[in-house]
Amino acid sequence: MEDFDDEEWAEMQEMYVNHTFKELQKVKENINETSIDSLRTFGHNIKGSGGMYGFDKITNFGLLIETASKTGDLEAIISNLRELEIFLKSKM
Amino acid sequence: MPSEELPNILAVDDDFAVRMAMDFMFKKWPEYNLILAEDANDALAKLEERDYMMMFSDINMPEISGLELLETVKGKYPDLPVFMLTSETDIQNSITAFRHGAMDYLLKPPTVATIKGAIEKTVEYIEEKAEKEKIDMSDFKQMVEGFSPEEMGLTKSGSKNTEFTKLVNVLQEKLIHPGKVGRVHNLFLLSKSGIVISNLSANDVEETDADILGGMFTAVKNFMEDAFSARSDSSLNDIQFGNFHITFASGAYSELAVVYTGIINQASEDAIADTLIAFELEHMAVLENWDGDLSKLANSADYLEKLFSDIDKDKS
Repeated sequence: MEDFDDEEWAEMQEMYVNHTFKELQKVKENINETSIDSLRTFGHNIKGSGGMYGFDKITNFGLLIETASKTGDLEAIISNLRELEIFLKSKM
Repeated sequence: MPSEELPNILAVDDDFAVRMAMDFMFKKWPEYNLILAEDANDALAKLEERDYMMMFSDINMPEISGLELLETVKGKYPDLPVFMLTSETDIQNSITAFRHGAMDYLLKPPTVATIKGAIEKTVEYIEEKAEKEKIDMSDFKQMVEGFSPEEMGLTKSGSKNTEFTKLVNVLQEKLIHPGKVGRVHNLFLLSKSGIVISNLSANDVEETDADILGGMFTAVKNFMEDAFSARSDSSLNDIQFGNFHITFASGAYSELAVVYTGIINQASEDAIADTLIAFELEHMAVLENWDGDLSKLANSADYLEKLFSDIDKDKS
């Protein structure tokens, strides 16, 4: 985030990555029981927040997960969740 | 400045990550006190606790949506600037948001510049509103106070002038002396020749007022004889006698004088004029060639009692 203290900003990004990773693990663990609505909400949320932490890529994953949830495309959802996990791990 | 004295900004979002990002952003602006709410009910409770400069709200929230929250908030706090935040690009949502009174519709994820822009827009809006109200109330009041139909030559004749005079009186009454309604002390119904047809005194006229009123009554008669004998219109005129005022309704055959302190309102002035018109219409035949026999105008006291009651009612 522009003009912020680098250290604080890095801490914020780290907090966000960890938070999103935990949320992702919950979704993954319950993928069979999780309703499509919850998957859509997860996608919707990260779509709205990723960019706020400087992660436009997370916002884009959110958009793909939300869109796939709306059409019920479980394969696309799983694929994007996997990609998201790889991305998050790269930032940890 | 302690945080209690800073302008409060409310941000409502069910997503923890968004609330934390907003919190982080506001570290940049210590001149504002950010309060976070996690849903609509939380927001409504927090709105009750203190005054807010503005509110940011997510649209897509469980239970009560941001648009429903907006509608409730604008019903309770119509002047609160609200910015809706959403990652939806649904045009219907933005239309609904504007229809419900949102100041703007921001796309998520918002940047620091977007949030800052919204704050600046709000500050500008509040300053403009305050300036407008200041102009409205001080300049407009000054303008109305300065109205003088007499000086503007608008009291000569013509229905438009009468209407204008009424308008000025109403504006002055409402804006310059709101709620300051005077007290009627006496009502005098007099013939053109100065004979008292009937008079009525307020029950609470004090003993010490009697002499003053006596003097005033003489002044009323003299004034009438000197100044009103040639007049034939039925408009009201007002003269001041110490702290007392005397307002006249001048008819074709008689005069109705109202002695009062303070200010009487337009409705009362209308009632005075209407009373005289009604009295003269009923007794026109007698008044045309009145010989001073009061028994021929026996119900004149009823007119004064009704007028007194009407004026008293207008005070409340």
